[in-house]
Amino acid sequence: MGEPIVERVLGFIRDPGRDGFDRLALEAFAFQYARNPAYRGFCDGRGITPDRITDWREIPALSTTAFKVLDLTCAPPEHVFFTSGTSQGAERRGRHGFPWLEVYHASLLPNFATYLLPDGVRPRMLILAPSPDLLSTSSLSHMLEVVRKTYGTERSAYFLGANGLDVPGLARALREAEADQEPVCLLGTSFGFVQFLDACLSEGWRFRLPAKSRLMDTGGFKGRSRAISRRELMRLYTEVFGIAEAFCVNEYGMTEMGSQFYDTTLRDRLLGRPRPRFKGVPPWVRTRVLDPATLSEAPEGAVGVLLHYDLANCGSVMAVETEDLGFSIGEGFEVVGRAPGAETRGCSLTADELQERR
Amino acid sequence: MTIDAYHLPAAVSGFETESLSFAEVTLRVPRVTPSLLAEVIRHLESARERLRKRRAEDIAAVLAEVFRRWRDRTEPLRLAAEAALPAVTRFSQGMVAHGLDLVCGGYRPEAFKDVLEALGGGDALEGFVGRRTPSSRAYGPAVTAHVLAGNIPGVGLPGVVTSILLGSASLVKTASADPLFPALWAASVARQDPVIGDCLAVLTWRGGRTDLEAAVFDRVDAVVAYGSDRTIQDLRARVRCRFLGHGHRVSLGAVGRDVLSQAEEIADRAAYDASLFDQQGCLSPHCVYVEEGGSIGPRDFAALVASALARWAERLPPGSLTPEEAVAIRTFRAGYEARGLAGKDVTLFVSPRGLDWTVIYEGDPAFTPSCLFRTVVVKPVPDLAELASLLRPWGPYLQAAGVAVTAERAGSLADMLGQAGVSRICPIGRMQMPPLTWHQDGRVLLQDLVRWTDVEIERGR
Repeated sequence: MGEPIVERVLGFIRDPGRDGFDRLALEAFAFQYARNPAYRGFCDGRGITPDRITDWREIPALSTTAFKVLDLTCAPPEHVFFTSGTSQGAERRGRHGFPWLEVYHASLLPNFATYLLPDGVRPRMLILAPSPDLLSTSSLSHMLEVVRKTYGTERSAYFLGANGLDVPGLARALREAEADQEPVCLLGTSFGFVQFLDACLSEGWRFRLPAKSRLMDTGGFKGRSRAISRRELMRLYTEVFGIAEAFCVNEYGMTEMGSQFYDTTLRDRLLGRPRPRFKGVPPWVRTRVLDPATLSEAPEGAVGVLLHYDLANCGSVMAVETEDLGFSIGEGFEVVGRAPGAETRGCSLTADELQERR
Repeated sequence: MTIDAYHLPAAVSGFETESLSFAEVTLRVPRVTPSLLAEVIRHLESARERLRKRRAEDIAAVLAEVFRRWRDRTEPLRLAAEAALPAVTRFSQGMVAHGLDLVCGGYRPEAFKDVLEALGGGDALEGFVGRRTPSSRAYGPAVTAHVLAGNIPGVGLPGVVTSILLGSASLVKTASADPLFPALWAASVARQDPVIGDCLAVLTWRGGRTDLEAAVFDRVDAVVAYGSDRTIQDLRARVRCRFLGHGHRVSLGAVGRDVLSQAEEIADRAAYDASLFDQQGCLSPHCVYVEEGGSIGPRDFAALVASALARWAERLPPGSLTPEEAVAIRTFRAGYEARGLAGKDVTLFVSPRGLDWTVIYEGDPAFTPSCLFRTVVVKPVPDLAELASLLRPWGPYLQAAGVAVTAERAGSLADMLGQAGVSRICPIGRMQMPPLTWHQDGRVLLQDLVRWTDVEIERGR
């Protein structure tokens, strides 16, 4: 290690009061400009160099789509994560190399604890996602494994194997939890949850999980389960698991980012702070909602494209322009969806749709 | 502004209405129910008996007059359409006005003459033709349902017009992206000729309402549908009568090296084709292939297309984008910028303001569908003959090719493009002006709709 910027970012994540985000972001930008040739080319194309800007908002944000094409690490990566592969071939998969996984973990753990475990509970973790043994390139699997090892009990386990979702095994674990009154934390992809919920509905299974049980889901359906609305999914969590809506936390993360975002509801409930659900932003990240046509600030509450400035990305590109739409709310934001490629208005066809079918 | 966005046979009454909001425009439409649809189709069936007694030439004359009035920018219905369509379709004011001229310009008396000729003068619709047995008679459907796509005002109109000429009544389901234009058009037909007007119904509902669609599909004789492949597949599965689906299509441009002395004008025409309707049509070019070895190279040609798109953006301003559309354009641009940074042979030309237009020059000649909204990908080919292999994977999706070549090369190029699957080859700059007789998707709409009966028994005179 030994990179001063890494030490400074780690210090800031440990104690955000000690150094201003604004200054550190500019330092991280200068570091990335110097060490990341592809990103430097991108900035030069915009005429922006570290000595020309004084505000972190001026740092050029690189589109997540560029991660499909460019190698963007500032040093040889310790580990490379890939976006979930489809049939679209290697060039269509995003990749994100982390030279210093320590930074990734330093961001992941306190943030997860803040929003999922604010009461200090150490739950039995039941995971509806592949373990890293099965999918070493998945940032989600890596993340869940680190969380399991750090905060989960001994009996925590994965229920998605090479043969798919282990429905009977997961049902058994939930019945055990009902019997020994040990709180569980269910973690997984939304489509994994829908698959399990559908099985429960057709079997007529209902669980009353012990107090302090909670749930974290993430991601869309990607055609791997039926697509249902967020509201309906929440209703099913409560109906089938007996977990109150406030204890169901949606995570929003992506391979291209070292940090994640979580719904604030569980933390708000435990702090006795009733307010609408939104995604909380950790102190080492800034999120902006911009008008996608002009890249000017979207008016309060208006839907725009999300840009994240994440110090945990100090080893690659800190400023990331996503394909996600959202709006500002509370001290954070809410995601309304991932732009699916311009929706066709009729008989013509867009790149995304055509690529899909080749 | 509140405006009625439906049309029904005069005898239909007693339905509830609801409102659809498009910015400052509110559209009033009937609340569609299975029983309303059943009643409408009953009226269409009986009105159609009167239409069948009319000669196709007379009907054509009425329709030609309707379209003449639509081209008259002082006509009240035209003014109403120009006032409301920008909010409904999100096309700019200038594009709506120009687009209406273009769409309605396709239905001049001589165009109807060509269609009637294709019908064999219409005789076979009026009686059995042929002196010896068997003699044959063509029957049009009693009622045809048209499921429209909302990308361009007037898409699907040729099908409705053809149906009327066949003496068939039409129930038109408009798309949520444009419930208005077909309704205004049908109302204008009814004002011109109440008998034909009674053979038209224009309604809208959210696609996928299987209860409503079953009420239609079980009662009509043919369904003509436009939309995404997924929509067409879904509809096909639910239609038991004759079904004509028009799914996904893409178009392209091709420029020969020997005409590049007029590169500026050709680039201007290509930019016009891509600017029209903000490239939303199945006839809008995604890629323009430019042959190497001419007086300017393909990359310089791309720069000319960029300047031309900038000029067209002034004359026919781009419409407004949804956030999803804007992000798709940003992502498309960013992907190519990244490929350039990765050392690929890519040059980007982007509008100085916002996301008005984009030109990408890419050395890799593989056909690339664009994200649309005035995004043109210019590609080099050593010889236009190579399009045969480049287009092969896209055969089922190919629609039109706008070409600029010398007359000597036109024949062989047209044959090659036709073999590849292209159903229309036209001069670049005329891509959005298909003739009424065009074999859309490579088919003859008229022949697809009529049903023939042959008689082999002796008939008295």
